[in-house]
Amino acid sequence: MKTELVNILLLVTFVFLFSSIVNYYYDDFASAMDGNVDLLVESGSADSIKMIDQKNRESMELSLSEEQAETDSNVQAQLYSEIKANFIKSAFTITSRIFTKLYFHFET
Amino acid sequence: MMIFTLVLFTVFIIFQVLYIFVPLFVVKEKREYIRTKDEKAITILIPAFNEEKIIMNCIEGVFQLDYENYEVIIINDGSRDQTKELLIKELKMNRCIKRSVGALSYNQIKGLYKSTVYPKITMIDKDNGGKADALNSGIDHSESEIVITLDADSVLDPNSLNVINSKFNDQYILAAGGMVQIGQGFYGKLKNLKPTFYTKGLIKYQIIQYLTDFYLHRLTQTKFQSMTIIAGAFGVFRKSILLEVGGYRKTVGEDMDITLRCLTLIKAKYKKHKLVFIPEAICYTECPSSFVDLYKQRIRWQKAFLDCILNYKTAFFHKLGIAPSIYLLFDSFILGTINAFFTIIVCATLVATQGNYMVALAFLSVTFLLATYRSIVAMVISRRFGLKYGIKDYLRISWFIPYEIITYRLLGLIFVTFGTFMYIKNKEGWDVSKRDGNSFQTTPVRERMRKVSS
Repeated sequence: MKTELVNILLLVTFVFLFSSIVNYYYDDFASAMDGNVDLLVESGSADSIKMIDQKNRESMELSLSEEQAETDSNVQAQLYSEIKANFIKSAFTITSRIFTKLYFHFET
Repeated sequence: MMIFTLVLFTVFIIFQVLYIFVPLFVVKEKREYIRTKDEKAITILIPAFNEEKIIMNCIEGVFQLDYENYEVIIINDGSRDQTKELLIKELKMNRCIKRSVGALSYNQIKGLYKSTVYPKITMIDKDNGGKADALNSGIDHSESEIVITLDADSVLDPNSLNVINSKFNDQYILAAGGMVQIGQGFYGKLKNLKPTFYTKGLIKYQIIQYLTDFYLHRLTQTKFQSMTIIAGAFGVFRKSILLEVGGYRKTVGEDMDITLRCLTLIKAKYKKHKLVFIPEAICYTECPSSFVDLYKQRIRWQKAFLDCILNYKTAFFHKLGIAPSIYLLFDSFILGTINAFFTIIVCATLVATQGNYMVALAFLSVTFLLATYRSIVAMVISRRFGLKYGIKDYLRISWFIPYEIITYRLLGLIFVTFGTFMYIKNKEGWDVSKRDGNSFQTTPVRERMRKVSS
């Protein structure tokens, strides 16, 4: 019981500390990303906008509320946050692709 | 560049998280192994080259083994010091005849000696041929089902053979690595050793490193059937497997090479068999106590590693298996060797690129967190295996862990970088680290050796 408690405590603390660090430096990652995305508007309407990142071949669609659509800065902020999320996601995607490709390459 | 950095860093995080949490959730508590009547025959091979200062410490450990069915073969590999004479004198040895299998090749044997006071101990006196050559001659002369390879600066724990005997009841275990503890981190008599963290910084660094490497890395690798090195200081093999792979290859990294050969054999022939790490089987080794000796040792390790990687470059995945290949290529080679160079380049690039220094800081923060956690979890796991420090020592450890990460650990980067260049320059070089013969902080053996040398 004591062992399990220690394990859980260490795991929870780790997740908390790790996510705190990632959260703290999130914006810095995004700014370092300049030049790594090339956004192109695919389609747009009054309440949503669909864009494609030509470099990373990722598409994203944003739903915009009335207040958000009112100003360009709000739209930009939301786009910016979406790019950041995609950037982190793409790192994990590429890593998993490498492992998968290697696996199939050598196993088949 | 940025995306490449992040991918590499993600791989690093994945491995580190595995190393931290797999052992944490796998290890519950220490299993006790007691002596049984069913003792398998075990041969302990001790290759010795110029080991006059330390060989008796190793023998002293053998005397205290709580096991009956074993034999010891010391291989004097053409020592130029008094190793042979010391052994003949201390163990009262006479010439003898011993049967050999004749399956392995090695340099010419000049003589075989048997102790008249400890009949379990034999010495092979042969021409110098290197550690692999010495081990091959020992394997060829061993008469047991199980063979233990031990460094001359290692001392076996009295209960270690009982643990091995019990573990090798599992027919699927072909070979195993034991736990190597830093001897200078203990005091007292061999049968009742107490851990201490009151020692030199360089030794403290190695204590933490060994605990992390063995309790975290080896346990995780065992879990994923991907152990790629059985430490030469304390390895256990079935004799049949050593003969089947053709013994040791003459190389600077003979321990890693034999492990990879075993993995190849498992993949090709013995699918259900495995290599494991046995944390309860302990031996104590004397670690380098000066920077120069540590440097020599680590350069040798890096050379050995690169030699094996290059030698097995065509065997990855299809011959060695998926999991060992992934660990070897990604964790050891890319993150270990290439990343050493990469870290230097990336740090310089990120700092030089305006605005990106915060990203470098982010990487450092995550690395620091992972390194601290690794050390903390290693201490937790070692406690579960019975290595319990006093409160004062835990305070010393808690101060030393963050200090070590930003000081001593950077040495690793330097060693890897230098070792790689040294390998390119000279593949075969083998710089011997000096040993003082101080296996533990206080031992009767040390006092005895002082008398012998005086």
